[in-house]
Amino acid sequence: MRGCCLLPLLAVVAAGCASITAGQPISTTIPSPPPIPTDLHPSVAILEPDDPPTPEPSPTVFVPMLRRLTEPGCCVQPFWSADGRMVLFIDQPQPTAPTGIYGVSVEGGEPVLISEQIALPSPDGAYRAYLSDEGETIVESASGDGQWVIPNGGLRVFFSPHSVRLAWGRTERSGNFDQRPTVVSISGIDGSNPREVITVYGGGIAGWLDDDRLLLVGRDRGRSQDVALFSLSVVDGTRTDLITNQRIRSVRIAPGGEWVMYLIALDPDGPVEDGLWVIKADGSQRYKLEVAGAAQWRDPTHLLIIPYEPGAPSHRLWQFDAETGQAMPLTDPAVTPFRVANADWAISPMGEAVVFVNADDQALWVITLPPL
Amino acid sequence: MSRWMLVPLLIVAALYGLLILPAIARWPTPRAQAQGNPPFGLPFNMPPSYSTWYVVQWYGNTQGAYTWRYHWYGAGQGMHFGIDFAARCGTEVVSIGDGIVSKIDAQEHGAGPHNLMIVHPEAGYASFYGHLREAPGVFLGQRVVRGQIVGQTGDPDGSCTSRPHLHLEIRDLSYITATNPVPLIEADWDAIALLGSGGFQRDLDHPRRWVTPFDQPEIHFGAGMLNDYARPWPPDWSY
Repeated sequence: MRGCCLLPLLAVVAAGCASITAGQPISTTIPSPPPIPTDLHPSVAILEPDDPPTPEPSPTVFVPMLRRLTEPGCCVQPFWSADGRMVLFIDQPQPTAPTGIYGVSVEGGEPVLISEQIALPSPDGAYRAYLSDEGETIVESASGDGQWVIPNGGLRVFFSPHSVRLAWGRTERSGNFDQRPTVVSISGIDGSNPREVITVYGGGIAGWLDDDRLLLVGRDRGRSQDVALFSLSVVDGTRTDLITNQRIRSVRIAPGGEWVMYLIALDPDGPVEDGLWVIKADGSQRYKLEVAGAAQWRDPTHLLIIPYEPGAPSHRLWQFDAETGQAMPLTDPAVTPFRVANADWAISPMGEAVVFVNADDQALWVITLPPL
Repeated sequence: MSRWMLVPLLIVAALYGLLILPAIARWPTPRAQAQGNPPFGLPFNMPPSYSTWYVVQWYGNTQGAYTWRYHWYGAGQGMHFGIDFAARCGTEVVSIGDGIVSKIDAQEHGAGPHNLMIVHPEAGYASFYGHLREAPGVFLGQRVVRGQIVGQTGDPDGSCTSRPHLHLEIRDLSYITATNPVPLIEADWDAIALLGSGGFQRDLDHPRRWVTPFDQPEIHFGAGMLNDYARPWPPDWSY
């Protein structure tokens, strides 16, 4: 059949758990952070002649620094080493060079080959997963002292934050995407004790909040209208519903698992809910961000956003504090101009820098961030 | 078949012969240069947002196309031969350029439940609008202008809740080659990508090839697979 396919944006979850715990009521009265002003240039204070100048200590102003790390045209989909000292990417710099993961110091220098084995790393860097030639999912320790075949028939796995457990989802290949069942299973990091934990419809696994709780998205039953974002303890089966909406997308868990970002887009009930949201993983607080754009977590409570501003000559970074609801600019286009290609960027593990594909030269650039 | 049933077919054939073929023949070759002066506009009259439309799958070597290369995309060399714009059912779709309606509900091109082809002879291309909710409100041979409403978005699964979106293709005037719409449409694509985009599949034997929205191959319908990679990344995980 010819025609186009729109894959579901979510690789998510969810669940039709029989013992559904009612979700915590979520306040909608929490004020949203202020909208981003259109002019970020430093304002100039105009003093009347009679106003005595007020002596103030001169604050240390952090100016983010831009640095090109690779040659133009190299590369895409960058990520960070676990210690945040290198930017990594898949490449074959010359036809005679091996394809592999290359790395360049965040301080600059020539890229070097890190590994010819390309695999999915665990969040703590202790393990990696890949598909064998036989179509089996293999997990092995980075130190090389363990390798296991995961009994899931070659499915992609989700590592828990400290590499205690694995999760995977098997989805039906037919039927409407918003109704397809996904059977979610877990095991130990070595594939031991595999078991099914839930079946969700039109969703899947968003990730692990911690080593014991999965974050899932999906419907309870094939014909239910509402999709839920919810956590599920794989230890005792406790389920906590966070929100329900037909159009939950782009779920991202903050480091530490206390906060979650998600997107509501094209809500059939109208535009009121459409937008980027952050919600506490226990459901006690929720904010809607008055800005659209690409967002990633910088640390357990701070979200970085590149706002959508069509036609702007430069992109910019904003930071949203989930604890306080406050937003602030991190870069000024007049001082630190940059444009990210295809929303291809990644925040370093310690949150002190961002690597991105520069739209002008398709090279990898790094931008330093002010300290938290 | 009654001779009266032949009348509509004859009218269609006449329209095609009188209006469309001469228009195509008059400008047989030139293709607008991608750089500097894109000949087309976006297929919506409203700006992108989380409440209007946004990109969910680029043209070309996408991860989604790789996953479904033997199914939906087999006829297009395994590649995604258009751009998918997520939008609510019923969102107005506009012509991306001045042109002439050349096909309506052409099932040989798939992308149901309804679709539309418009030729743009001066630019040397045709634009194709797939997954329309209803039969387009235009007629064969009708001249349309850039920005003119020509249809409404629908859902290929017919539900309006599964995956409502517009599938937009740009083809050559013989309809057998699809080309990347990104360089041909005037838009701030880097800004649009901030609202949503999607990743490209990596061929580890050519890891820098076809990995950006601007760098994608032409697709020749019916030709061999372009993305049946020996060493893909992400790997060919089970489903």
